[in-house]
Amino acid sequence: MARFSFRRKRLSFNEMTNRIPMPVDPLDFLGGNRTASRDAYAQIHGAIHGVLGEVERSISSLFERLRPDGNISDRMVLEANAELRTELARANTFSDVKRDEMLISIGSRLESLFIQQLVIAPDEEAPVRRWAALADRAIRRDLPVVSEPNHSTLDVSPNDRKKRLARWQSETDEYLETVCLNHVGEVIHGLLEEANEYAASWVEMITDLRRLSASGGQLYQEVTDAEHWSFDSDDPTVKNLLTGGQAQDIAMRILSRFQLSNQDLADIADTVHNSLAGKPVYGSNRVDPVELQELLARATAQKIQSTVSIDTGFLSLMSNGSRFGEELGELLVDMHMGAAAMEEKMWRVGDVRVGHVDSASGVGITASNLHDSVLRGLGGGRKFAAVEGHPGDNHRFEVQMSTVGAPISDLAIYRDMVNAWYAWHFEDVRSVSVNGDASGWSTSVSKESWKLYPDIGEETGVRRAIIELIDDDLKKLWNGREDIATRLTNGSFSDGELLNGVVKPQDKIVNTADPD
Amino acid sequence: MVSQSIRDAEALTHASSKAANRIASPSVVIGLGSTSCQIVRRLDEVSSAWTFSDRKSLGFLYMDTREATRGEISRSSRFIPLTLPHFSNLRDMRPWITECVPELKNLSLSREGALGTLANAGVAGRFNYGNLRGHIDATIEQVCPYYEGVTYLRVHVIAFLGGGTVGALPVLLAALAEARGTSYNFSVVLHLVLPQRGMSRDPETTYPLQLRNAYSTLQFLRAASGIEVGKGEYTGKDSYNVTVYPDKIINAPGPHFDVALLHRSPKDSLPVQRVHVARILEGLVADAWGTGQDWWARYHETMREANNNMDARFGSISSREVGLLDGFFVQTAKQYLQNQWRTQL
Repeated sequence: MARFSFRRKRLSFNEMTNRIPMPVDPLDFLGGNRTASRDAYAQIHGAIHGVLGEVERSISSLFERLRPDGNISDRMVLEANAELRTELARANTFSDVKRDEMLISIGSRLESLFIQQLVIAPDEEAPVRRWAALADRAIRRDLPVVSEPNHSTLDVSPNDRKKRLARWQSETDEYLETVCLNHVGEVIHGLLEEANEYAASWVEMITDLRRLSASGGQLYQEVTDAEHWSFDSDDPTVKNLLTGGQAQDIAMRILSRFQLSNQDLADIADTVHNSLAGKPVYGSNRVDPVELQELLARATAQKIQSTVSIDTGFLSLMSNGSRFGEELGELLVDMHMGAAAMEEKMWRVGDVRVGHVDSASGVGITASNLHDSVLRGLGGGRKFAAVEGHPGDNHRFEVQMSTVGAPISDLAIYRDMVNAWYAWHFEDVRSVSVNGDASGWSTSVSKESWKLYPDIGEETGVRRAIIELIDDDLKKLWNGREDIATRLTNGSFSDGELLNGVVKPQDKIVNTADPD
Repeated sequence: MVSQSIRDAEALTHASSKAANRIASPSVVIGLGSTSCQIVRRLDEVSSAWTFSDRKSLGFLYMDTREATRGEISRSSRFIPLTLPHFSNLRDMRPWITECVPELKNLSLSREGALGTLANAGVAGRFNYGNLRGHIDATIEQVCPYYEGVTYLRVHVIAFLGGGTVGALPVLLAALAEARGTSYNFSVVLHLVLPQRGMSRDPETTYPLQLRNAYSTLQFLRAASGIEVGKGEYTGKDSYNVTVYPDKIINAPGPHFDVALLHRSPKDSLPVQRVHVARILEGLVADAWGTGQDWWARYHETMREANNNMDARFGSISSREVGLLDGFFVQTAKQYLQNQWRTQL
């Protein structure tokens, strides 16, 4: 009659070395692919096993030195025992470090998975339940005792010593594998705890997002209300020239051709994860759903912005419809009224014409008749480098939805400057004695000019040139009232109002001849 | 908070992408005055996360009449204090002084409360001219090592037009003109920060003085650009002479700058102004990257199309850094998320 032994098979680190995989990324099963729980277990096992390989090699070398056919001293045995204990302690330390590293990585990957699933598959169940079967494999074992042979035990015949050394090595081997499996179990426990929190938070988060995006929800209102699409800026030199409805329309056209790649998705998750600065995505103290939605939107916005091809920028998106050319012309008139008007007030057209070099944003390929609309919109005359002929009978044209459009009140900077300069020279006590005398004003300007124009020597500097410029400014401001295009004032103030209060009629000529 | 954290995350992402170089042409960034030094310092801090090759293509130089500024910048930075020795140690009526002030005793009267007149900085700039030239040469050598064969760079000068330290601008431009005569070829970008009423300590008194200073400096820049007006008796030349300590005449031939940009803060707040201008500056310094790349392409296009060299000299910048386009794309992303959640949930 056959006799069967039910003795448990002894664990062996050495045997496992050839049986388990050594994956480059042991946690890649968390990336959402359909890895079976058995394979996931093998990958975790392989990772912990890998870090103990160095310890195993050191232990093998130790047993090599105690070869059965050589002499052995008491000191050699003592040293071998001490070294072995050190190696076993190293095995525990290495495993602890790897376990902690994997637990951190698990948390980070699950958060990334959570964020990615929110974007692409919010309707699916949390993909973490399939790892629940791993729990059966996470068994904690007691560490076996590794004997400590003394000199008399090993100082025996070569055959006996060989057997005893083999037993000692086998105990060590079992110890290493037990350490390895216990740490695998701890990693799995950590993974399952995270997965449970993930699953519980997923349900709650989805409920919150459903509430936000449903009719009447905060997100729903934000995207449907055109007010939120106007992007007004506090900057007086910046104006959004698109209406909310137009912006919505463009957004829909952009989204119709927008697709997220896997890499984009991973980048979005990384950006959100980094911006949370340690705040968890799931769990009891997780981030607020509205904040998470905001972070997701900002990270996704970067991807949309980089995905929208420059060649199919805003203008081509806007250029649908017969009224496009006219609308564009109107936009450019607005631009002219804004930036151009401010610049003209500051520098005057004629001597220093301002190259308008801002607002580089979208490049669109548009119909060739656009050029006419643009030139009309600019009112002619003004050099506007943003429009240029294109050899392919298209026109490369750049304007951005946010462009310069200063309110009228801010167009008076130049006037204010002249006013301030004038007041400083003539309206305080310094000028009381030169009342009504043109040469006296000039004397006053020259006398005080050293405080304002420190680069000006009597002979070498540019003081006289500056006074000539100021003289010219004052003359032009007065004489040029009629030259200012009325459309620039937008009917808000008259030309007289612009200039009266800046200089008085009698102030318009400053004698540039230096009385000194 | 959200936008700040997302920006930090972007910075991290950018910092980690080693492949992309931001800077094609090395730059020296010079802050003139307290406001400008704060802006430059901000850029200095932001750029610390850039790659090594980008970072070594950037040099910073700080100049201020206020000695305390030295304590506000990093210790390794080059700082040139625009200070003068005690009057008793200076001989009066020397040309480098009298070009600025009729007599040295007037100098002590040249500050009007917190807002100094320009003369003080002008004299201090002349006194420290040797120091200034030395630092400019050393910084250029640092960002453009001659043995690497790079001989083109950009110099960005940031100055608050309403302040007093801007009075040293003519001296700085003269020093740059002299440096340009060496084996290096560089273009100068002037960043002129405009005074704003809401940002003055006392809008009723100091703001008009700031406007007056702004007007004076702008007139100097116009004159130094060689604009000819009226009879053209004195205007029309873009070179000028400056006498510096100890009575050395420096001839500064034009053109003194390639483009001057006017900056306004979107809000009447110093931190906002600092961040806003520094961000635009960051874009322009990073000429191989994003907005800077676009901007420089557009700038050269403008210069090509300009009727004369003057046409494109002055410009204004208020491009996408101001955030309107960012706002649009964030809103579009919200629309995307809404579509996803609305259809699938």
